[in-house]
Amino acid sequence: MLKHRFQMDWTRLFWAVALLAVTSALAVSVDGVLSEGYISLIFVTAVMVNGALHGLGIAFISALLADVGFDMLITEPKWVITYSHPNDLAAPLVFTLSALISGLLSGRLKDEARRVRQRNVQLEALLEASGGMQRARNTHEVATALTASVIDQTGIMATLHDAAGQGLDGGDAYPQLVPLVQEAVASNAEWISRNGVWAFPLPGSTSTLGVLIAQRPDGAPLDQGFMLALARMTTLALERVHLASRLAEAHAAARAEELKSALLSSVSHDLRSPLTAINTAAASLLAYGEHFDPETSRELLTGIVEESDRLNHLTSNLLQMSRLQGGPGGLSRSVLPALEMTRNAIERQKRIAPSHQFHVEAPDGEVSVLADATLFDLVLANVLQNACLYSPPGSAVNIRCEEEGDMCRIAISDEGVGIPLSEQARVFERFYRVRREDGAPRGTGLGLAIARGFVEASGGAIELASPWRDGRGTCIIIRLPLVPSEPRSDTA
Amino acid sequence: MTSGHILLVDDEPAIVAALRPVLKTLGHAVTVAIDGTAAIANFTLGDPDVVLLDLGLPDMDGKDVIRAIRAKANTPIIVISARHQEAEKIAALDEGADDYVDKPFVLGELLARVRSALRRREVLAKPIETFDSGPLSIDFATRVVKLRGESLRLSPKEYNLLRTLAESAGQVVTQRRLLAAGWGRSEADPQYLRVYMGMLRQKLEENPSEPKLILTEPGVGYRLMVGGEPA
Repeated sequence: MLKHRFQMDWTRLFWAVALLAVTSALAVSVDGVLSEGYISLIFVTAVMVNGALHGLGIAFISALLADVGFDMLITEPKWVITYSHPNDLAAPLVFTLSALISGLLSGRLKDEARRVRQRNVQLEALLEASGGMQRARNTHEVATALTASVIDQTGIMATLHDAAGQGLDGGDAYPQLVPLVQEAVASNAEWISRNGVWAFPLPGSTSTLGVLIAQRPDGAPLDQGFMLALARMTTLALERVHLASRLAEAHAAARAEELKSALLSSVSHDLRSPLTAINTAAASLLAYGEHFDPETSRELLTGIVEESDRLNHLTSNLLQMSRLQGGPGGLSRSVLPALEMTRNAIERQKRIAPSHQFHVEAPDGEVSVLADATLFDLVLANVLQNACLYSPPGSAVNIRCEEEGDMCRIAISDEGVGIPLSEQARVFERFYRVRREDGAPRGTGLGLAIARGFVEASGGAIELASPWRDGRGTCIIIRLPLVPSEPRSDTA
Repeated sequence: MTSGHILLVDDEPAIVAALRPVLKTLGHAVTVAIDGTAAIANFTLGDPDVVLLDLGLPDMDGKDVIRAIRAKANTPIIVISARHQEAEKIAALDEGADDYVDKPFVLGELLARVRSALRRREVLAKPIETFDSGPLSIDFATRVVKLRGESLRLSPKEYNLLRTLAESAGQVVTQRRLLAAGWGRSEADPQYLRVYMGMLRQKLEENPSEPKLILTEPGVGYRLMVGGEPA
């Protein structure tokens, strides 16, 4: 920097001397035409020009040179410097004065210009930081926007720390700053400064949001006004981010609460129907049993058993739903024989829906998948139950199980009403039930929601195709990851 | 035992399957409708004596079914509702339903409601002049109210309230209907109603703090018991 300024001086000096040389030449050429007094004005002009252009130092050198030049070239006796007459002193005095005035004026102008330039830079930095912080969605982004815009524009190293001293930009830790940060938080001052490092505590409405640490690489002092403005802006940005995150939390909590109450009301409704049926059937058997023919009694008893099963199924679905909501961490993973489990599920479903025709198409041997056993079993039962509920008695339910790349693909298709296109996106939602042809939906409204939750938590996928064949039927396709390294084992 | 034709409207096959045998055993003819459209169609075709209506229907609001039936006839309608649908229940009663049972209901309670409704259906056939049940008798022509043979002095408001309850004896009467009967407008403060019901109980009940004749249906209205029939 100093070297730079020094070089500039030599260039400036060269131009200043050049101008004086031209001036001297001009003065000599008009010597005799104009009087001495007028010619001195030419020198005064040159000194002032030099002062204005190059500052005080060069102005003085110019004044000295002009004085020598004027004395030697213009005033009599020529080529000699004499100060014998009071007039001889007037010229150097005037030259020096004009050098002083012009040099000071130009210096002040330059200082002003530099200040304006610096202010511009600071404004740019503030603007850029403000823009970046406005867009920030979390404290990390606020910190990054602040650091980037400030160092770009001003060269100041500005970093944001939480009240414990941890850097908020997610970068390196700054253990050496921790004492300073803690002192700043405790100080209650607008800023503190230690060894060229400045700390600005950022007070929020309830607690200290963080601390802004700033320093110049060369240890030069910082512009206090600029830094305080930056600190205030950062405070606002942090406060906004905090409020936004608190709002998002509140929204999430409200949604969870809504879901819970929807679940409760739906569950209580779903529990009531089978309970009413059981209660009514049992009470009529108790009070009027002797009037019923054996067939009617049997039907009522069958109803009681079926509705108890339904209650049981609903309860286990609810339990598994809450397990799934606990996140994938709550699920166990074990190697499961997919074919055997599917066949078992079909056998159970056959007892519930004896009139349906089940056709299984599967490779010899076993297909092993990695999943949660209870949930896999429940999902198979749910999908098979849906296939039977939404298709006429006596129709076929086809189950196809095969390996497909590194996935096990299980396709369960029925010959039922199918799912209208408009409802297909919603069937995987909780408590959504497609209407059956004969009225009441019988499912829990949880089956496919659980299936999707389970399959996705297991790293698989679920999709549906409807209508499946001849404008009817639904096909649910479940893909689960195969056991990676283990080759197909012949357990069947 | 009064037998009649019952239209059972419920989209839940299990409940229909459980209810139908007992209703048939009691001598009722039972028609089943699984949605509102079928209910209205069956009502027109079958001319049932009582309608048992589940409010949660797949194709339309249960209240619309009530409105459609009321446009044709004043056949008693008993609403079957889930307990948490308090507002729905009151709206259904105001729409013209005669009574309600909560799900899961007690069979005996439902059957008692059906009997009440069938009796009312018979009463509706001929113009009512007197009410006579248990200790209470009312002569609607002379406005004479007797309790165990002794006549009671009732204020006009008390009489109007008792008459309204007696006209739907055994069935729930909503606060709105009672307010309309006593004060001429159904928007009146239910607090008045509570006060007057208290005064009626003072005059009618043996033990007013344990009413046996005028029962409160919390949140809905009041019910005048007939012939010691269990509610």
